[in-house]
Parts: sequence; C-alpha cells; structure tokens
Amino acid sequence: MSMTIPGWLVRGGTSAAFKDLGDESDQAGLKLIAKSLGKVRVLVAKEGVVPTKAIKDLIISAKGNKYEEYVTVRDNGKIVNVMVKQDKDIVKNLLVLASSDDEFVIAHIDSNLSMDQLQKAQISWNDERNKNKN
Amino acid sequence: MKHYITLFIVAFMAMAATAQNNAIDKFFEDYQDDENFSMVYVSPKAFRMVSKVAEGTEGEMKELQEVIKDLKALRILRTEVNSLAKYKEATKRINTGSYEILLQARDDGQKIQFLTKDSGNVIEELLLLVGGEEEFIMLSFVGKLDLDKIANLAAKLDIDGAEHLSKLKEK
Repeated sequence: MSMTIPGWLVRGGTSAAFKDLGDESDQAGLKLIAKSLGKVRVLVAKEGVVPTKAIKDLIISAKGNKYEEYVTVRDNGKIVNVMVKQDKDIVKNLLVLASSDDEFVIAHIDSNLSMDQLQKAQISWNDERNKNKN
Repeated sequence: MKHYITLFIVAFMAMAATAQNNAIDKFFEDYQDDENFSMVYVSPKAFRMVSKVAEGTEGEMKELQEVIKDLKALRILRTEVNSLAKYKEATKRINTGSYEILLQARDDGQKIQFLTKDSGNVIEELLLLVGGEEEFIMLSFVGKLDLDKIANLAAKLDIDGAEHLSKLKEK
C-alpha cells in the first residue's frame, strides 16, 4: 500500500486533527511544527515483498543523496532507521524506515523545519504545560 | 633534529590512538548487521538536534539537555548468543590497556568493566563492557562526558544494557 499526501492537506488536516489530539499544551507545539511540513509519502509492504538487500541499498543510496543517519535501532528482528537531509539548520527531508518480520514501512516527509522552530515548539509546549499546571 | 623526533612521536601516538578507535569502530561494524545482535546508534547530529531543541527549556528537558549537549555519539551492541565468547573477543581486539579502568565488577557471573579515555581532565569516551553466560554488551559514549550526568541519564534510557550505567554512581 502506498499513499502520498500533498503539503497543503498535511498542513490543513493536522489543524483539524490536533483539536482532538491531547490538550492545548500538546497542540501548541504540534501546530508550530505542522506549518513547516510538506508532502508526506508512505509505503507499507508485507513481509518478503522488499528484500533486505534492497533496504540496505536504499540506505546507501539515501546517504549518497545527502541523507544523514540520525538514529538506528535493531532489536529482535525489528529495525528502525531515521535519516535526515538538512540544509544547515533546516530539516528539508525526513526518511524513516521500519522493518520487521511482518512488514516494511517507509515514510518520507518534505519539510522546511528549522531548529529554531523545533525549539520554539518545545518551549511553547512546555510553557502551555506549566500554565495548565498553575 | 629534536623537532623532527618530537613530531614523529606525536604522529605515532596519534596513529596509535586512531588505530585504537578503529578497533572499536571495526568491532561495531563487524556486528552491527549481525541478526544475533541488538544495536543502537545515535549520531552526533541527532544529539546536536535534541540539544538545540531543548535549549531554553525547563524541567526534565533541561536536565536532558545538560547531559547530551556535549555528547557526540552513542553506540550499543548486545547479544545473548555466545555472549562470553564475544566478551573475550572484544577485550582481545580492543586494547583495553590503553583505557583507564574506572570500575570493574563481577555480579552474578557477569564481568563488568567501565573504561574511560581522558584528555586532560575531560573524559572523551566511556566504554562499557559486560560479559557473561547470558549476555554480552558493548556500550560506547563519545564526547565530553560528565559521569554523574551519564549515570542519571541511565535512568531515563529504556535501552537494554543502559541500566549498568547507574553503577557509575557507586564509584
């Protein structure tokens, strides 16, 4: 199964979705991030459809296209790779690969998310939480 | 002449240090794709991003930021297959003599070693080796390390093997 969600729908849809997601403190930070998101593409394949070698080749190819490995975790047959393409302090693309015995998922997100925005989102999130506590 | 000899010695020491780091890197490379191993790798960029995002925050995020702001990389390898043999292989391949032993312990048949590499008063690498009949763990933190903060971080990490880091507080 594959799905492509255009950026305008991601940005518009998340506002509606966040109304029912968590409380105001959760929404504050998430809205800041959502504004910077672009096209989202997701591919889900059942076991055996994508050979392990193909996944490894994809990672090598991504590295050749300036994606940098951020986090890799492998445990009990499950593997998660998070790769990011950055332009200085701006996250331009996020690539997440998750594979297990049952399925393989690849998610690719276009964005224009700066570290400052992530920081503001985090601070906004914390400020709202502290406000709610008081 | 004396200047050239000094340069030669410094270059040799740098090569020896590089070779040592390469031994650890090589060990990780050899087993990071081995399905018998669990593996965690967190890159310098990931630490930098989290540290940047956590700047100016308070509470738990601030505490986390204090710990990770000087970290460069984290690598963990763990296996339950031939664990004692893997431990012996690791101690043989990695010249643990070039590290300072911070803590050694034996607990329920497991051998635990904390090794550090210093530069002046700064700890630049913390290497944890755990080996026994049940599991082998190699954990490497690279960066400017504060051992107390690393031990506190252990409580927040839900990663197999990281619980041994809390023993640093016992030192």
